Amino acid sequence: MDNRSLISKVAKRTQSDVKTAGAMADALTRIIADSNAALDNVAIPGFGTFIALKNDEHIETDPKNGQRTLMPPSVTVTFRSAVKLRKAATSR
Amino acid sequence: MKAPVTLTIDSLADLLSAKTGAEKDVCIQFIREYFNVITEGVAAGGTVSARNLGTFHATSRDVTFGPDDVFTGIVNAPFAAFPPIPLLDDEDIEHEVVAEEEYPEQEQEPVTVANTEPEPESIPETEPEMVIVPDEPLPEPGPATEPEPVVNEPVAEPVIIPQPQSAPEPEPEPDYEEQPEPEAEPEPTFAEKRREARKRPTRCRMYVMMGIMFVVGLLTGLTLGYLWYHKINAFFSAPIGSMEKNPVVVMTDTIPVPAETKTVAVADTILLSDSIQEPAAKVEKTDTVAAKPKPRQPRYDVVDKRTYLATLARRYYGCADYWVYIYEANKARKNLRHPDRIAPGTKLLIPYTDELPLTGNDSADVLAAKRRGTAVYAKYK
Repeated sequence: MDNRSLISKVAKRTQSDVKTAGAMADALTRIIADSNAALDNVAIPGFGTFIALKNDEHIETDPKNGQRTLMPPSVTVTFRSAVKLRKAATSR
Repeated sequence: MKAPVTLTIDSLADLLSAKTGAEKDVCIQFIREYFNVITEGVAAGGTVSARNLGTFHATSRDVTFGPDDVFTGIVNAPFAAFPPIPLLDDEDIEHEVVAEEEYPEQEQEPVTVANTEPEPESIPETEPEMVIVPDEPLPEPGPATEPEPVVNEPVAEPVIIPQPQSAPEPEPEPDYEEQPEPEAEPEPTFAEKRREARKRPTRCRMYVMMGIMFVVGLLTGLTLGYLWYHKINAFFSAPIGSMEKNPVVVMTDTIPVPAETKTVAVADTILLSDSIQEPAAKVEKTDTVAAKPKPRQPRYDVVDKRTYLATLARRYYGCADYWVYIYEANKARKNLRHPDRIAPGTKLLIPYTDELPLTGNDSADVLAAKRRGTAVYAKYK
Protein backbone atom coordinates (compact mmCIF):
# COMPACT_ATOMS: atom_id res chain seq x y z
CA MET A 1 0.00 0.00 0.00
CA ASP A 2 1.48 3.37 -0.94
CA ASN A 3 0.95 6.71 0.76
CA ARG A 4 -1.79 7.83 -1.61
CA SER A 5 -4.05 4.88 -0.91
CA LEU A 6 -3.26 5.17 2.79
CA ILE A 7 -4.38 8.80 2.89
CA SER A 8 -7.47 8.14 0.82
CA LYS A 9 -8.57 5.33 3.14
CA VAL A 10 -7.95 7.44 6.21
CA ALA A 11 -9.88 10.30 4.64
CA LYS A 12 -12.83 7.98 3.97
CA ARG A 13 -12.90 6.71 7.50
CA THR A 14 -12.57 10.12 9.08
CA GLN A 15 -15.10 11.55 6.65
CA SER A 16 -12.80 14.28 5.48
CA ASP A 17 -11.24 15.21 2.21
CA VAL A 18 -7.93 13.86 0.98
CA LYS A 19 -6.17 17.20 1.21
CA THR A 20 -7.08 17.71 4.85
CA ALA A 21 -6.17 14.13 5.69
CA GLY A 22 -2.83 14.55 3.93
CA ALA A 23 -2.04 17.73 5.84
CA MET A 24 -2.95 16.12 9.14
CA ALA A 25 -0.85 13.07 8.27
CA ASP A 26 2.13 15.29 7.49
CA ALA A 27 1.66 17.15 10.75
CA LEU A 28 1.39 13.90 12.66
CA THR A 29 4.58 12.49 11.17
CA ARG A 30 6.34 15.77 11.86
CA ILE A 31 5.26 15.64 15.52
CA ILE A 32 6.52 12.08 15.85
CA ALA A 33 9.85 13.03 14.24
CA ASP A 34 10.27 16.09 16.48
CA SER A 35 9.49 14.02 19.56
CA ASN A 36 12.06 11.43 18.59
CA ALA A 37 14.59 14.18 17.87
CA ALA A 38 14.08 15.28 21.46
CA LEU A 39 14.77 11.67 22.48
CA ASP A 40 11.15 11.11 23.50
CA ASN A 41 9.33 7.91 22.67
CA VAL A 42 5.94 7.84 20.99
CA ALA A 43 3.53 5.06 21.93
CA ILE A 44 0.46 4.27 19.80
CA PRO A 45 -1.86 1.81 21.58
CA GLY A 46 -2.49 -1.32 19.54
CA PHE A 47 0.18 -0.37 17.03
CA GLY A 48 3.58 0.05 18.62
CA THR A 49 6.16 2.42 20.03
CA PHE A 50 8.67 4.60 18.23
CA ILE A 51 11.75 4.56 20.42
CA ALA A 52 14.56 7.10 20.00
CA LEU A 53 18.09 6.00 20.87
CA LYS A 54 21.00 8.39 20.92
CA ASN A 55 24.33 7.19 19.57
CA ASP A 56 27.14 9.18 21.14
CA GLU A 57 30.01 10.55 19.15
CA HIS A 58 32.66 7.94 18.51
CA ILE A 59 35.75 7.27 16.48
CA GLU A 60 35.48 4.87 13.60
CA THR A 61 38.48 3.23 11.98
CA ASP A 62 38.49 2.25 8.33
CA PRO A 63 39.86 -1.33 8.26
CA LYS A 64 41.34 -0.86 4.80
CA ASN A 65 43.62 2.06 5.45
CA GLY A 66 43.33 2.60 9.20
CA GLN A 67 41.94 6.09 8.80
CA ARG A 68 40.25 7.27 11.96
CA THR A 69 37.16 9.45 11.69
CA LEU A 70 35.29 11.26 14.46
CA MET A 71 31.62 10.49 13.90
CA PRO A 72 29.13 12.98 15.30
CA PRO A 73 26.30 11.90 17.60
CA SER A 74 23.13 10.65 15.98
CA VAL A 75 19.66 9.46 16.86
CA THR A 76 18.28 6.14 15.73
CA VAL A 77 14.56 5.44 15.78
CA THR A 78 13.50 1.85 16.34
CA PHE A 79 9.98 0.53 16.25
CA ARG A 80 8.63 -2.00 18.72
CA SER A 81 5.39 -3.45 17.43
CA ALA A 82 2.42 -4.12 19.70
CA VAL A 83 0.97 -7.59 20.11
CA LYS A 84 -2.16 -6.68 18.17
CA LEU A 85 -0.18 -5.52 15.15
CA ARG A 86 2.13 -8.51 15.29
CA LYS A 87 -0.75 -10.96 15.44
CA ALA A 88 -2.54 -9.21 12.60
CA ALA A 89 0.56 -9.27 10.45
CA THR A 90 1.64 -12.85 11.16
CA SER A 91 -1.80 -14.38 10.93
CA ARG A 92 -2.13 -13.67 7.21
CA MET B 1 20.86 13.36 30.55
CA LYS B 2 17.12 13.64 30.83
CA ALA B 3 14.93 10.58 31.25
CA PRO B 4 13.09 9.56 28.08
CA VAL B 5 9.50 10.63 28.01
CA THR B 6 6.88 8.55 26.27
CA LEU B 7 4.17 10.44 24.48
CA THR B 8 0.76 8.85 24.46
CA ILE B 9 -2.01 9.27 21.93
CA ASP B 10 -3.49 11.95 24.16
CA SER B 11 -0.31 14.03 24.05
CA LEU B 12 -0.04 13.48 20.34
CA ALA B 13 -3.58 14.65 19.84
CA ASP B 14 -2.86 17.80 21.84
CA LEU B 15 0.16 18.58 19.72
CA LEU B 16 -1.70 17.79 16.51
CA SER B 17 -4.61 19.92 17.53
CA ALA B 18 -2.27 22.81 18.33
CA LYS B 19 -0.57 22.44 15.00
CA THR B 20 -3.56 21.98 12.70
CA GLY B 21 -6.23 23.81 14.62
CA ALA B 22 -8.55 20.81 14.64
CA GLU B 23 -10.41 19.60 17.69
CA LYS B 24 -8.73 17.16 20.00
CA ASP B 25 -11.37 14.44 19.51
CA VAL B 26 -10.98 14.68 15.76
CA CYS B 27 -7.24 14.42 16.13
CA ILE B 28 -7.54 11.35 18.36
CA GLN B 29 -9.86 9.71 15.86
CA PHE B 30 -7.54 10.61 12.99
CA ILE B 31 -4.50 9.16 14.74
CA ARG B 32 -6.35 5.92 15.51
CA GLU B 33 -7.69 5.53 11.99
CA TYR B 34 -4.32 6.38 10.50
CA PHE B 35 -2.55 3.59 12.31
CA ASN B 36 -5.50 1.19 11.92
CA VAL B 37 -5.26 1.55 8.16
CA ILE B 38 -1.54 0.90 8.37
CA THR B 39 -2.25 -2.20 10.47
CA GLU B 40 -4.76 -3.47 7.96
CA GLY B 41 -2.40 -2.74 5.11
CA VAL B 42 0.41 -4.64 6.78
CA ALA B 43 -1.92 -7.54 7.56
CA ALA B 44 -3.19 -7.68 3.98
CA GLY B 45 -0.36 -6.71 1.72
CA GLY B 46 2.70 -6.98 3.90
CA THR B 47 4.20 -3.52 3.17
CA VAL B 48 2.85 -0.02 3.83
CA SER B 49 4.80 3.13 3.09
CA ALA B 50 3.79 6.39 4.77
CA ARG B 51 5.26 9.63 3.46
CA ASN B 52 7.66 11.45 5.77
CA LEU B 53 7.42 8.53 8.21
CA GLY B 54 8.72 5.28 6.75
CA THR B 55 7.86 1.81 5.53
CA PHE B 56 6.22 -0.88 7.62
CA HIS B 57 6.89 -4.40 6.47
CA ALA B 58 5.49 -7.65 7.86
CA THR B 59 7.84 -10.62 8.29
CA SER B 60 7.09 -14.10 9.50
CA ARG B 61 7.48 -13.11 13.13
CA ASP B 62 7.27 -9.34 13.46
CA VAL B 63 6.66 -6.03 11.74
CA THR B 64 9.74 -4.06 10.79
CA PHE B 65 9.98 -0.30 10.34
CA GLY B 66 12.37 1.49 8.03
CA PRO B 67 12.36 5.26 8.52
CA ASP B 68 12.06 7.62 5.61
CA ASP B 69 14.93 9.92 4.60
CA VAL B 70 12.87 12.95 5.56
CA PHE B 71 12.03 11.39 8.91
CA THR B 72 15.68 10.53 9.58
CA GLY B 73 16.75 14.03 8.60
CA ILE B 74 14.28 15.65 11.00
CA VAL B 75 15.30 13.32 13.83
CA ASN B 76 19.02 14.06 13.33
CA ALA B 77 18.57 17.76 12.61
CA PRO B 78 20.21 18.84 15.91
CA PHE B 79 23.43 17.09 14.87
CA ALA B 80 23.38 18.13 11.23
CA ALA B 81 25.98 20.81 11.89
CA PHE B 82 28.57 18.23 12.95
CA PRO B 83 30.00 16.42 9.96
CA PRO B 84 32.39 13.48 10.32
CA ILE B 85 35.96 14.67 10.89
CA PRO B 86 38.93 12.59 9.76
CA LEU B 87 41.59 12.40 12.49
CA LEU B 88 45.32 12.46 12.07
CA ASP B 89 47.34 9.47 13.20
CA ASP B 90 48.89 11.23 16.18
CA GLU B 91 45.82 13.22 17.07
CA ASP B 92 44.24 12.43 20.37
CA ILE B 93 41.08 14.20 21.40
CA GLU B 94 41.04 12.92 24.97
CA HIS B 95 44.53 14.21 25.63
CA GLU B 96 43.64 17.72 24.53
CA VAL B 97 40.69 17.80 26.87
CA VAL B 98 42.84 16.75 29.84
CA ALA B 99 45.59 19.35 29.07
CA GLU B 100 43.08 22.17 28.99
CA GLU B 101 41.78 21.16 32.36
CA GLU B 102 45.25 21.24 33.89
CA TYR B 103 46.12 24.71 32.67
CA PRO B 104 44.11 26.74 35.20
CA GLU B 105 45.64 24.85 38.13
CA GLN B 106 49.17 25.58 37.01
CA GLU B 107 48.39 29.21 36.37
CA GLN B 108 47.18 29.65 39.92
CA GLU B 109 50.57 28.71 41.39
CA PRO B 110 52.44 31.85 40.32
CA VAL B 111 49.52 33.92 41.50
CA THR B 112 49.73 32.66 45.05
CA VAL B 113 53.52 32.47 45.05
CA ALA B 114 54.07 36.07 43.96
CA ASN B 115 52.07 37.40 46.94
CA THR B 116 50.83 40.24 44.81
CA GLU B 117 47.57 38.61 44.25
CA PRO B 118 45.75 41.03 42.04
CA GLU B 119 48.62 41.66 39.70
CA PRO B 120 49.59 38.10 38.86
CA GLU B 121 46.01 37.12 38.53
CA SER B 122 45.50 39.67 35.82
CA ILE B 123 48.64 38.74 33.87
CA PRO B 124 49.77 35.32 35.03
CA GLU B 125 53.00 35.04 33.09
CA THR B 126 54.46 38.43 32.41
CA GLU B 127 53.13 40.72 35.15
CA PRO B 128 54.73 39.06 38.14
CA GLU B 129 58.10 39.84 36.66
CA MET B 130 57.12 43.37 35.87
CA VAL B 131 55.59 44.08 39.25
CA ILE B 132 57.88 42.26 41.57
CA VAL B 133 61.23 43.41 40.24
CA PRO B 134 61.08 47.09 41.30
CA ASP B 135 59.49 46.36 44.64
CA GLU B 136 60.99 43.29 45.97
CA PRO B 137 64.73 43.80 45.48
CA LEU B 138 64.76 46.20 48.48
CA PRO B 139 63.12 43.96 51.05
CA GLU B 140 64.39 40.76 49.58
CA PRO B 141 67.95 40.88 50.94
CA GLY B 142 66.37 40.84 54.39
CA PRO B 143 66.05 37.59 56.26
CA ALA B 144 62.32 37.99 56.41
CA THR B 145 62.22 37.70 52.76
CA GLU B 146 64.13 34.50 52.75
CA PRO B 147 61.07 32.41 52.42
CA GLU B 148 59.81 34.85 49.86
CA PRO B 149 62.85 34.53 47.71
CA VAL B 150 61.61 31.09 47.04
CA VAL B 151 58.58 32.79 45.70
CA ASN B 152 60.33 35.95 44.57
CA GLU B 153 63.14 34.17 42.99
CA PRO B 154 62.14 35.49 39.66
CA VAL B 155 62.50 39.01 41.07
CA ALA B 156 66.15 38.67 42.23
CA GLU B 157 67.72 38.93 38.94
CA PRO B 158 71.07 37.38 39.45
CA VAL B 159 69.78 34.34 41.27
CA ILE B 160 66.05 34.16 41.50
CA ILE B 161 64.77 35.37 38.21
CA PRO B 162 65.71 32.40 36.10
CA GLN B 163 64.15 29.96 38.56
CA PRO B 164 60.73 31.50 38.86
CA GLN B 165 60.76 32.33 35.22
CA SER B 166 61.21 28.73 34.60
CA ALA B 167 58.65 27.90 37.25
CA PRO B 168 55.54 29.47 35.80
CA GLU B 169 56.42 29.37 32.17
CA PRO B 170 58.42 26.25 31.66
CA GLU B 171 56.25 24.25 33.99
CA PRO B 172 53.32 24.11 31.66
CA GLU B 173 55.53 23.82 28.62
CA PRO B 174 57.51 20.80 29.67
CA ASP B 175 54.38 19.19 30.95
CA TYR B 176 52.65 20.02 27.76
CA GLU B 177 55.59 18.71 25.88
CA GLU B 178 55.93 15.66 28.01
CA GLN B 179 52.33 14.71 27.81
CA PRO B 180 52.21 14.00 24.11
CA GLU B 181 55.46 12.06 24.25
CA PRO B 182 54.40 9.30 26.59
CA GLU B 183 51.02 9.16 24.98
CA ALA B 184 52.47 8.95 21.51
CA GLU B 185 54.72 6.05 22.46
CA PRO B 186 52.12 3.49 23.43
CA GLU B 187 49.95 4.30 20.47
CA PRO B 188 51.24 2.53 17.46
CA THR B 189 49.51 2.97 14.18
CA PHE B 190 46.66 0.80 13.15
CA ALA B 191 48.80 -1.16 10.73
CA GLU B 192 51.42 -1.86 13.41
CA LYS B 193 48.78 -3.02 15.85
CA ARG B 194 47.42 -5.40 13.26
CA ARG B 195 50.86 -6.78 12.51
CA GLU B 196 51.57 -7.39 16.17
CA ALA B 197 48.22 -9.08 16.66
CA ARG B 198 48.94 -11.42 13.80
CA LYS B 199 52.34 -12.37 15.22
CA ARG B 200 50.93 -13.24 18.61
CA PRO B 201 49.90 -16.90 18.75
CA THR B 202 46.27 -17.22 19.54
CA ARG B 203 44.73 -19.69 21.87
CA CYS B 204 42.75 -21.16 19.04
CA ARG B 205 45.92 -21.99 17.14
CA MET B 206 47.41 -23.71 20.21
CA TYR B 207 44.35 -25.87 20.66
CA VAL B 208 44.39 -26.79 16.97
CA MET B 209 48.05 -27.80 17.17
CA MET B 210 47.40 -29.87 20.26
CA GLY B 211 44.50 -31.59 18.55
CA ILE B 212 46.59 -32.40 15.49
CA MET B 213 49.41 -33.81 17.59
CA PHE B 214 46.96 -35.97 19.52
CA VAL B 215 45.44 -37.38 16.34
CA VAL B 216 48.86 -38.10 14.86
CA GLY B 217 49.98 -39.85 18.03
CA LEU B 218 46.79 -41.88 18.14
CA LEU B 219 47.15 -43.03 14.53
CA THR B 220 50.78 -43.93 15.06
CA GLY B 221 49.94 -45.95 18.13
CA LEU B 222 47.14 -47.78 16.38
CA THR B 223 49.36 -48.60 13.41
CA LEU B 224 52.15 -49.94 15.58
CA GLY B 225 49.69 -51.95 17.63
CA TYR B 226 48.15 -53.43 14.52
CA LEU B 227 51.51 -54.45 13.09
CA TRP B 228 52.69 -55.86 16.39
CA TYR B 229 49.52 -57.85 16.83
CA HIS B 230 49.71 -59.32 13.37
CA LYS B 231 53.37 -60.16 13.77
CA ILE B 232 52.62 -62.04 16.97
CA ASN B 233 49.69 -63.77 15.36
CA ALA B 234 51.78 -64.77 12.35
CA PHE B 235 54.48 -66.05 14.67
CA PHE B 236 52.11 -68.41 16.39
CA SER B 237 50.23 -69.44 13.30
CA ALA B 238 53.24 -70.27 11.14
CA PRO B 239 53.37 -73.95 10.04
CA ILE B 240 56.13 -76.39 11.03
CA GLY B 241 59.48 -75.71 9.40
CA SER B 242 58.87 -72.09 8.61
CA MET B 243 60.13 -70.93 11.98
CA GLU B 244 63.83 -71.34 11.53
CA LYS B 245 64.84 -69.09 14.34
CA ASN B 246 62.44 -70.43 16.89
CA PRO B 247 61.87 -74.03 16.13
CA VAL B 248 58.75 -75.44 17.64
CA VAL B 249 58.75 -78.98 18.87
CA VAL B 250 55.75 -80.65 17.34
CA MET B 251 54.41 -84.06 18.04
CA THR B 252 54.81 -86.22 14.95
CA ASP B 253 52.07 -88.49 13.89
CA THR B 254 53.99 -91.27 12.13
CA ILE B 255 55.79 -93.79 14.28
CA PRO B 256 59.18 -94.35 12.69
CA VAL B 257 59.92 -98.00 12.12
CA PRO B 258 63.66 -98.59 12.25
CA ALA B 259 65.07 -100.81 9.53
CA GLU B 260 66.79 -103.00 12.07
CA THR B 261 63.55 -104.18 13.48
CA LYS B 262 62.45 -105.07 10.02
CA THR B 263 65.42 -107.31 9.44
CA VAL B 264 64.95 -109.00 12.76
CA ALA B 265 61.43 -109.78 11.90
CA VAL B 266 62.48 -111.23 8.54
CA ALA B 267 65.08 -113.44 10.17
CA ASP B 268 62.53 -114.89 12.51
CA THR B 269 60.19 -115.80 9.73
CA ILE B 270 62.86 -117.44 7.67
CA LEU B 271 63.82 -119.78 10.46
CA LEU B 272 60.31 -120.78 11.09
CA SER B 273 59.24 -121.38 7.52
CA ASP B 274 60.00 -124.40 5.37
CA SER B 275 60.13 -123.02 1.88
CA ILE B 276 62.91 -120.85 0.69
CA GLN B 277 60.65 -118.54 -1.07
CA GLU B 278 58.57 -117.93 1.96
CA PRO B 279 61.13 -115.92 3.78
CA ALA B 280 61.53 -113.79 0.73
CA ALA B 281 57.85 -113.47 0.46
CA LYS B 282 57.71 -112.97 4.10
CA VAL B 283 60.47 -110.49 3.84
CA GLU B 284 58.45 -108.69 1.30
CA LYS B 285 55.44 -109.02 3.43
CA THR B 286 57.26 -107.75 6.42
CA ASP B 287 58.65 -104.96 4.31
CA THR B 288 55.21 -104.05 3.13
CA VAL B 289 53.91 -104.46 6.62
CA ALA B 290 56.74 -102.25 7.89
CA ALA B 291 56.01 -99.64 5.18
CA LYS B 292 52.45 -99.32 6.36
CA PRO B 293 52.14 -97.25 9.42
CA LYS B 294 51.38 -99.20 12.45
CA PRO B 295 47.81 -99.18 13.44
CA ARG B 296 47.64 -96.34 15.82
CA GLN B 297 45.01 -95.45 18.25
CA PRO B 298 42.99 -92.38 17.59
CA ARG B 299 43.85 -89.48 19.76
CA TYR B 300 41.42 -87.19 21.46
CA ASP B 301 41.44 -83.96 23.26
CA VAL B 302 38.86 -82.01 25.21
CA VAL B 303 37.59 -78.53 24.55
CA ASP B 304 37.34 -76.30 27.58
CA LYS B 305 37.13 -72.60 28.39
CA ARG B 306 40.77 -71.94 27.44
CA THR B 307 41.17 -74.62 24.78
CA TYR B 308 39.31 -74.30 21.53
CA LEU B 309 39.82 -75.49 17.95
CA ALA B 310 42.59 -73.07 17.07
CA THR B 311 44.44 -73.88 20.26
CA LEU B 312 44.27 -77.59 19.54
CA ALA B 313 45.42 -77.04 15.98
CA ARG B 314 48.37 -74.98 17.14
CA ARG B 315 49.19 -77.62 19.73
CA TYR B 316 49.07 -80.62 17.41
CA TYR B 317 49.89 -79.15 14.00
CA GLY B 318 51.78 -76.04 14.84
CA CYS B 319 49.37 -73.89 12.89
CA ALA B 320 46.15 -72.46 14.28
CA ASP B 321 44.56 -72.25 10.83
CA TYR B 322 44.39 -76.04 10.63
CA TRP B 323 41.50 -76.01 13.11
CA VAL B 324 39.15 -76.60 10.20
CA TYR B 325 40.46 -80.13 9.78
CA ILE B 326 39.73 -80.97 13.40
CA TYR B 327 36.27 -79.45 12.93
CA GLU B 328 35.57 -81.47 9.78
CA ALA B 329 36.78 -84.69 11.43
CA ASN B 330 34.33 -84.23 14.28
CA LYS B 331 31.48 -82.48 12.56
CA ALA B 332 29.51 -85.60 11.77
CA ARG B 333 30.32 -87.66 14.81
CA LYS B 334 29.75 -84.90 17.30
CA ASN B 335 27.10 -83.05 15.33
CA LEU B 336 29.06 -79.83 15.52
CA ARG B 337 27.57 -76.63 14.22
CA HIS B 338 29.22 -73.26 14.64
CA PRO B 339 32.96 -73.79 15.17
CA ASP B 340 33.12 -71.07 17.87
CA ARG B 341 30.24 -72.52 19.83
CA ILE B 342 31.49 -75.92 20.84
CA ALA B 343 30.47 -76.71 24.37
CA PRO B 344 33.28 -76.99 26.91
CA GLY B 345 33.98 -80.62 27.77
CA THR B 346 33.45 -81.89 24.26
CA LYS B 347 35.91 -84.62 23.35
CA LEU B 348 37.23 -84.18 19.85
CA LEU B 349 39.12 -86.55 17.60
CA ILE B 350 42.43 -85.07 16.54
CA PRO B 351 43.46 -86.44 13.12
CA TYR B 352 47.10 -87.16 12.51
CA THR B 353 49.06 -84.87 10.29
CA ASP B 354 49.45 -87.41 7.51
CA GLU B 355 45.69 -87.72 7.41
CA LEU B 356 45.36 -84.06 6.57
CA PRO B 357 45.23 -82.94 2.92
CA LEU B 358 48.55 -81.13 3.03
CA THR B 359 50.71 -80.63 -0.06
CA GLY B 360 53.93 -79.82 1.71
CA ASN B 361 53.88 -76.19 0.62
CA ASP B 362 53.33 -74.43 3.91
CA SER B 363 51.97 -71.19 2.54
CA ALA B 364 49.62 -72.96 0.15
CA ASP B 365 48.42 -75.32 2.90
CA VAL B 366 47.75 -72.44 5.22
CA LEU B 367 45.89 -70.59 2.52
CA ALA B 368 43.79 -73.65 1.71
CA ALA B 369 42.99 -74.16 5.39
CA LYS B 370 41.94 -70.52 5.74
CA ARG B 371 39.64 -70.83 2.75
CA ARG B 372 38.03 -73.88 4.25
CA GLY B 373 37.57 -72.06 7.48
CA THR B 374 35.98 -69.10 5.71
CA ALA B 375 33.59 -71.46 3.94
CA VAL B 376 32.62 -73.02 7.27
CA TYR B 377 31.89 -69.62 8.82
CA ALA B 378 29.94 -68.58 5.73
CA LYS B 379 27.43 -71.34 6.37
CA TYR B 380 26.53 -69.86 9.73
CA LYS B 381 26.22 -66.21 8.78
